[in-house]
Amino acid sequence: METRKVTIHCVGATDSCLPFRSTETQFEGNTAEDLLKSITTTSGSTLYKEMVDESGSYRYGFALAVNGELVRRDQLRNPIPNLSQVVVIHLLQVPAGG
Amino acid sequence: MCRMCLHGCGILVHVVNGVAVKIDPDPDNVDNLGKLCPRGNVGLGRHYDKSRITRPLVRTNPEKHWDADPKWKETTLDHALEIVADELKRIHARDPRKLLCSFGDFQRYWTWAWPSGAFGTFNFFSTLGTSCGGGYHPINGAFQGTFATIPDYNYCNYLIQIGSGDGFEAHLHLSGTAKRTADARMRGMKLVSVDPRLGAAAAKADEWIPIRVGTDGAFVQSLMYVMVHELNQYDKEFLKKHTNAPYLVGPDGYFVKDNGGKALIWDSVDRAAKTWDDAGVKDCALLGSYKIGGVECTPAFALLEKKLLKYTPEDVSKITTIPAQTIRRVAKELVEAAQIGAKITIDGQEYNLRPAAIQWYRGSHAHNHSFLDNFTYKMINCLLGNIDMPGGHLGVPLGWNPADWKGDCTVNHLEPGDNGVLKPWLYELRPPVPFKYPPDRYQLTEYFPIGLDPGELIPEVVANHEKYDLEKPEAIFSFFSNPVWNMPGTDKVLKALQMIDFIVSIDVQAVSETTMFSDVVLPDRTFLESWCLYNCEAPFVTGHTLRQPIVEPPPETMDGTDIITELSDRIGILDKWNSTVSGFLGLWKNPKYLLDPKTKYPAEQIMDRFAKAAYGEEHGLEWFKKHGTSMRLKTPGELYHTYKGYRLPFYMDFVKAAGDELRNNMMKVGKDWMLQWRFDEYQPLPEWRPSFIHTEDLEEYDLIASYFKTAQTTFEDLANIPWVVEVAGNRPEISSVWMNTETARKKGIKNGDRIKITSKYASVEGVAWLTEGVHPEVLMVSQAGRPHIQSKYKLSSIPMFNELLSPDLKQVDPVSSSYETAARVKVEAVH
Repeated sequence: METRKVTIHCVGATDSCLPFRSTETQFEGNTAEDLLKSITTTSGSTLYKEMVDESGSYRYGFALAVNGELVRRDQLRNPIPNLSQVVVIHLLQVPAGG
Repeated sequence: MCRMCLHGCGILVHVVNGVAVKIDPDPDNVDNLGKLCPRGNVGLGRHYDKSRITRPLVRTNPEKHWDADPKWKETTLDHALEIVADELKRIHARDPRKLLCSFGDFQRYWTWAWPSGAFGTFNFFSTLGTSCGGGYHPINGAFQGTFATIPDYNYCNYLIQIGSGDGFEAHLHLSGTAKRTADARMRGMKLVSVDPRLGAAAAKADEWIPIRVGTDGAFVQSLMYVMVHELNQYDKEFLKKHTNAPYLVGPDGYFVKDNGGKALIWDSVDRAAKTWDDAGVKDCALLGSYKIGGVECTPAFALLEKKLLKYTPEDVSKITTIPAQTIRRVAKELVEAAQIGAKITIDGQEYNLRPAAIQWYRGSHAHNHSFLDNFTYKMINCLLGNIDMPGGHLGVPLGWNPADWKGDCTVNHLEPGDNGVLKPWLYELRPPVPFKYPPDRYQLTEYFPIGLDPGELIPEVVANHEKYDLEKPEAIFSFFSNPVWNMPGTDKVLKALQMIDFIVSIDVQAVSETTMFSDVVLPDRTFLESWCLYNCEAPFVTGHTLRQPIVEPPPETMDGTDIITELSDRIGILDKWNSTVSGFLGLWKNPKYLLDPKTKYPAEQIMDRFAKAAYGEEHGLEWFKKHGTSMRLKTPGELYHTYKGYRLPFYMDFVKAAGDELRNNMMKVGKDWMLQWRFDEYQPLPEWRPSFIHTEDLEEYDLIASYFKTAQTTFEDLANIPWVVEVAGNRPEISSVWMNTETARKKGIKNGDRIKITSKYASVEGVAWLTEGVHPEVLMVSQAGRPHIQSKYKLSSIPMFNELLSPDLKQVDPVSSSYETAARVKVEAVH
């Protein structure tokens, strides 16, 4: 099984599910989806389930960036380079409302 | 960069011996084109305001009402921060949702993310959203994947402004837009202003058409009636190719689909139903009705065509008071100016040329059926085929979300969704909030799946929190904001304030309606003392402009961003705040610029990281200090669209679906107020409905009062700057209440008389200014009234319009969450 080593950062309102803010990790597989499925959240789920709904779309407020580029939902199964900088972004509302 | 409104024009400030003496427009900034509006020109008045707070203030008088002196006691910054941090820490530990926030500095918009991202509250005490775009922003997002809109002054030849002062006294980037509007008019663009008031736009227009308040939607429906039923002139090709107007709708109001879930259209050549994306479709029907599998189906356009039958010019004339022949003439002029069928090639790309548009804003959209009104205004532009086309109706992104930056340009959200129709982008500033009872939010966002957060409901919900199974909130955190002034229904606002234990304000002025009720005021720095890198709703340009301190701040003041960082550290949430900033400002674009969770970063360093993450290592703050701005004109390819891969939602089935789902959820919960919800406002096509201000049986309240903004007084902090007070105070059209001459004569009111205006909820006083430049049924009041502040400098003759309103669930548009901003009133002279 192929493996990748990346640094993953979590920014925004991340406390609800994420076990860390920044860490190096090695995972089995080579895609962003493999990475997200390898990470267990504080609720015992996987990061992938927290971020992506049943239809494969990001849940609102979530985004993912690899090496500074946003990863579209249809790119989650593309390979990511070894030693990538991966950022999970979780933005919630601003209080003024619009 | 200027800070006298939200948009941020480029300015140059002249400093002599450490004193700022003059503000000029930056001649090289392509946003404001070497121009500066009246607000920008009085910026020194804000900085050198004698009422400015230069030391933290702590209230010593527990009594809180309009006439109560707070008996401020000055203290040190450290002591004041400690008082605030202790209160917030206590609330944060118990239940963060009990903190209500009101953040009003658009230019430091990252601070708006502090409540939800760092502190853990979604609750606020503000109507910034619904007092601003109301129903306009959701419809822009749903229909066009954008936040705001602007007419394309580059090519537009015929512009109808409805309840809007774009290019004259308000809305997007006034300085530059005024220049662009003037250039277009010099080129020959005809301007028609539809407004109850002969304001700046109407005064300079080719034609002013006075209209009864709140009937603009009926007027536009009638224009569409003439285009479709009398002239048979509308952009059929645009509707067929670039919208879902040909999609077949079944008797249940939803699209008819094949077994694979694909929406069907009717091929009028082959006389057969085909899927919307079938490459073999020869010509799709817009009209008629068809049977598919025994079910009667109708193209969405045919449903609109039928709805329009209600809006003959003769019938609408009775609603609007606009003569039928005027409606017919304007419709003909508009559609002929649109040159339907014309093409233009720009930079090698062919577009539809549609040099005619309708633009609207608050005067026409802020009524009881705001969603349907806004949908109407969008729809007529769609019939002209001018959406994002040269000369037409252009989308303007907000510009805040770093995820929207493609290269160095902020773009609209144009992503195909269900059945090839543009994915609606309703929630520019937050994710959707699922239905839940009891709600978590005092603004009841859980019950507005399409709209913004209805902040106008907060005072009533706070005062009656048990009714909604909510607990009493404990504190208000106000940052560069004045909710007591800007929220409608002042009486309810004050009652809600009485229930709040602790109020803290971060501000530069101590005399605002909100600081009068505050327990602690933390002194912010002015725009001439602080850092900011910014872009917001820039219509024709893209990039960021820098603001940098050019005078020394008073020592016991602190930049608002730094105050929040310091408070976060003392509360124990610095890591969350830094993480929020890293996400919100796009520092993730280069992870080396992510903020360390344990470090307190001054605003200057945050801006430096923001610049470098967005533009690269070489374009940090040093680069911006040297160049001032990265603003550049948008290319034609960034301004105009070719509609590859998506269709516009002419028929909004998802709005109907949202309403149906809300009905099901509310019926299950079954609270009395839920059973009275107006679910039938969730319509997939636009229509006009009278507001309660038209239908309530209030015979003695025979006039409608409405308000307006001018360029000099758009925001409250302008209305107590001495220069503004002197200039505006000498102009009766700002300082007095507009009343039609003949109406006044019938009531025995003379020019200059002191008058009492009474709604069902309150009475206010002002001075009558008699003019034929206002509709006979209408009183127009400047929004700049601040009668309750203790200041030598205020426009003392203007009443506070918000006192005349009293929003409740009945007065709020259940789709957009906007509220009715006009009131039925009676008027009498005060002797």
